[in-house]
Parts: sequence; structure tokens; C-alpha cells
Amino acid sequence: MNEVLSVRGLTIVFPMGHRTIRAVDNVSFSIAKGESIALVGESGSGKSTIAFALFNNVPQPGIIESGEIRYFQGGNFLEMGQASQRQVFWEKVSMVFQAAQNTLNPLLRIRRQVEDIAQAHHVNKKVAIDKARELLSTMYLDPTRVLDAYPHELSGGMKQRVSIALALLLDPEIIVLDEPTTALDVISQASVLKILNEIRRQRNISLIFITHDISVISQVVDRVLVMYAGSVVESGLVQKIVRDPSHPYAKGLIGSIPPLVGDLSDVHGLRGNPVNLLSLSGGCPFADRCPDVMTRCRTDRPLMRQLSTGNAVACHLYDAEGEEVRT
Amino acid sequence: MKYVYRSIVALVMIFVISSLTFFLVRLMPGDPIIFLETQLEQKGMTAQQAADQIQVMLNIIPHQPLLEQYREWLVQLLHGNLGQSIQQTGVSVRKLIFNALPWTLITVAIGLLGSYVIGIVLGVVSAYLRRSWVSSLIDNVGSVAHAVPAFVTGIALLYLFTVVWHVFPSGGAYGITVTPGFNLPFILSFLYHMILPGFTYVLTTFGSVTLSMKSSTITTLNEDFMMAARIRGLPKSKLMQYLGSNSILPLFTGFMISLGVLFSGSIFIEQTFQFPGIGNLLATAVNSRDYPVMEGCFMLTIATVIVANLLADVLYAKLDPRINV
Repeated sequence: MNEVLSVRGLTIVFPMGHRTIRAVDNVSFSIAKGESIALVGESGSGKSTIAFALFNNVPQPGIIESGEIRYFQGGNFLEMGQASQRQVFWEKVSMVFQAAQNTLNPLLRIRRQVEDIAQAHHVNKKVAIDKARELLSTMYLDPTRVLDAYPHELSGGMKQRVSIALALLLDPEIIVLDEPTTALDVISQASVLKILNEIRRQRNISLIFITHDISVISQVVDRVLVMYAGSVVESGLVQKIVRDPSHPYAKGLIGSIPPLVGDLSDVHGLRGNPVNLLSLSGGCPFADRCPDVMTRCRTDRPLMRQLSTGNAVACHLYDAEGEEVRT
Repeated sequence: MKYVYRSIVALVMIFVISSLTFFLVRLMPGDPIIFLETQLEQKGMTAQQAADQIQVMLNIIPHQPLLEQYREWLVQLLHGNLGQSIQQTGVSVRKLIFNALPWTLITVAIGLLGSYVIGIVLGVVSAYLRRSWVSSLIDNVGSVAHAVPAFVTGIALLYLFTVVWHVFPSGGAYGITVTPGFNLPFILSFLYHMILPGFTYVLTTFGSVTLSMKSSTITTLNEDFMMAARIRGLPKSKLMQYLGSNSILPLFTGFMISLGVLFSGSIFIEQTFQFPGIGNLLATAVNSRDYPVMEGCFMLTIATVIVANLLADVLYAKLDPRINV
């Protein structure tokens, strides 16, 4: 397996007055060339923070407390100098941002912004513009019109597609997509996902989706990591997770998706509110909302276990099964 | 086409506001003509003789109905004539203004430039170091400097630098030993004399620039496109360019409006330093009810503010593609 990214024991904390919030707690995962994975979880589960950590750009006042991020089996990215980091940015790893509408400089035409990226990475401007034209066409956009437009002259969906085109500009090997379809209507969602899937097949690039909506991306990802309160609670192949989730939180998450056909009475939301990261105790973070909570869930943190189904899960319900996974 | 329309609107506005000031000025208590008339009558002239004398001296007919005066003023104005001073008999208002304008123009231009440069630099520094004590120091100094009125700052500087330390001259625009003109001793003497008034102007203006620059820089720093630009691997110089162009925009309008001050000067500062600029001219005119001079000064200010606003609108559209005039 050709590993393009490996994250080990990533922990990100946010100091809040006297206390610190562990927004990301000891998360590990890796992704192979051409593979597509998804980090799924509700708001505040730390998935976007991980996306920014991949660029060593955690929003203030967050601090990466510990962990390693290695691209292409190289050295720890977090310990590299700024110059070497900048080489990895966009050329090797690029990103489609959440609310991509606001990620373009409002004062410059798209053409200038393409040229600025080209210049920063020592690419010939004309080559970059030609490349951008080709990419914009694959996104079903009129290249000349878009290149000569200011961001405010484009619609939200168009800006989203421009943002994806920019992400592909330098032929990266990994693209991080933070809620790439959230701001789009259902039809644009489908077309954007279709485009992404085609590009992935053609160029054999790896995709990392960050999303709260497992149903939308289930067609385009291979593996899913379900996150809760900053840790991965279950991971496995997407079909396994969707059809047969093991962790009570994953069960609840899947069970809360309304079916396209069938009775809505089968849909159940998760009870309770997302956990307050300030009030986490030593036990399982999901204990307060878990329908199957046991005594030891309140005191012992469950460790990741590899199940016979192929999924890995961090839950005391499965203590008797499988074996512990080193993280 | 739009610009033609806007220019016409601006012209109409200038006309309406100057007409209003014509009447406002005459609503002030104390009529200099009546004063002069009484003076002449006390010297033994008859009322008719006094009126004739005034008409010869000032080209003003005493006790003329206000509307008639207004009509005459308008006719003169259309000929580009602002009338002549009542106090300095025979001197045209235009000449008085042209004599005073360069002092104010140069001093305020330097002061304005200085306060914007200092304000923008401090604002950006304060935004970058917003978690450090440096930022709160800058903010507090800026607020205090902005809050203290110009005449207090002016008098304090005057006291410190001329009474206590004898570093700078206490008034005037140039020394008595130099001849005004384009020669080095005069220019040096002028610069030496304008340091205190200019510095007072900077001290009272840079604070508000600092605070607004800080807030707009922080807003821009937190924008998604700045974060995106970092992750896209843009070099630091490019990032500063993105930051600068976006955060300086909100200050532009304020800057253009300050251009109005360029032509009106600051009454307080110029009075404090006995600086022979427009502000001083206006203050003297107001005290002696010199109607034509007051009107001339007001019209100058009105015209600059309105033209600067028009210019700001037009230029803003050039700077920010989102704005469409």
C-alpha cells in the first residue's frame, strides 16, 4: 500500500482561560494513494480542526500539542520550516474550504488569483492560466468569463467550483475537502461530487472529506472515520459503517438519516446535545448520551479495537471481541 | 454620463449651501456696516453722508434689503468675484484667501499625511500584536490623543516647546529675516515654523486612524480568503498585499473627507500658533463680522468637502470592484 499521508496521535488543544479544551484527542489515520476517506461527525467534533492541522494552520488560539503528520512517508511535517511547508502547500496537498464563497480575494479577478498561486509556486503564469481554463471547463464553467470575473460576480455554486478548480491547479496528490457541498443545493451537490469522483479516477488522487453528512459522501468515499468529541470512535469501510455500524454513536448517526423512500417514523435523532468539551471526564465522552451506557463507561476511556467485521471501534460494548489497536 | 450627473448635483449642492451661509452669516448679531455708520455719524457726518462714504469705501449700500444684497452677491459670484474685506478696506477676499491658503495647505497636507502614515503603521502593528500589551498601549495612546481637543494639545506643546524649552518659535509662518519666495532660507524657516502646528495636527488625528486601521486589519485577518491564501502557499509579501489592499479600503472615505480640512485648516491650531492660514483668517473674520471674508472661507470649505466626496465616490469604485457608482 502506497501511503501518502499518515497522522499519528494528533492532539490539538485550545486554551480557554484557566482550562484547555482538547478539540482533537489522539487521532490517528492514514490514507493510501488514490484512496478517498471521510471524517464524519457533528459540529464541534474536531473534524475541521484536523483539516487545518494538516496545513499546520490551526485557527487561533489552538495549539498542536502532540502528534505527527507525515506526507509521502517523509519527515514530520509539523517540525518542518516554513519554507519547506510552503512547498507542500497546494503543490502536494490542497484544500477546498468550507464556505468556499469567501476564500477568494474580493478585490482581484480570478485570473489574478490564479496567477498569484502560479507565481508563488514558480509555475509559468500562462501555463497556469491554460490549466485553469481546462479545469474550469471540466467544472462546466465558461473559462473566459470566469477568469475575467471578480468573485462577487459569480454565484455561490460557481465560486465553489472555482475553488475546486484552484485546488486542482497544481496537480496535488491529496485534496482536503472541508464540507465541500454544504453551501450548495442538492443538484449542485450531485454535480460537484460527480466531478470530484471523475477527477479522482482520472488522476488517481487521494481525497479527504470532512463532513457531517454521511449520506451525501457515501458514494465517493472508500473509508469512513466517525468522530465524536475530538476522537475517532469508529472507522471502517463505508459500506460496513453505513449498513452495520457498531459504535452506539455511529448507530445513532446512521439512524438519523431520513430515508428517501419509507416511513419517517423509523428515523431517530440522537438524544441529548453535543458534548461540552470543557466538562469531559476520564470516561467515554459519549457516555451521557449513550443508550447502552454501562458503569465502566463513566470511568474508563475505551480503546480502539479491531472487530471481525473489519471495523475498528472504541466502545466498551466490544471489550470481549477483537484486539486492541495501537494508536 | 453618471459622472456628469453627479458633478451637476455637486455644483447645485455647493450653490445651495453657500446661499444658506450667506443668510446665516447675516443672522449673527452685530452688523459691521451699522457699526461703521454710527462711527462716521459720531464724527459729525449726516446719515446720508455716512452712507455715501461707506458705499465709496466698501461698495456696499447700507440698509439695503437682504434679498437685494443676495442678488448682488450672486451676480458678483458668477463673475468669480467674492467681494472685498470690510475690515481690511479695499483688499479683495480672493487675495486674502490666496495669501492664507498656501500656509494651511502645506501644513495640513504634511500633517494629514503624517497622521495617516503613523496611524496605519500603528494600527497594523496593534492588529498583529493584539494579544500583547503593545496593542493595548497603542490603543490607549491613540484614544487619549484623539480625545484631547486640539487647542489643549496645541497649548501644551506651545508651553513645553517655546516657554519651557525654547526649541520652536511661538508663532508666525516664517522668520522676519527671510524673504518669502522660492529660496532655501525661507523654506527652512517655514518648515521650522510649521513643526509645532503640524505636529499638533498629527497628534490629534492619528489616534482615530490607528483605531479604525486596527479594527479593519483584524477583520481582514480573520477573513476566510486570508487563511485560504496562506494555505495556497502564497509568500508573505503577497499576503501583506492582500491584507493591505483589503483593510485600507474603509479608511479611504475618511481620508477623502479629511481633504476638506486641507482647505479650511484648523481654527484652534492656527489661532494657538498665530499661524497666518485659512483657519486664522476665518476666526478673525468671524470676530469682526467681516461677512465677505467669512463667506469666502466657508465657500472654499464647502466646495472642497463636496468635491472630495465626489472624488471619493469615483475613486472608491476604481479601488473596490464591488462598488458601482
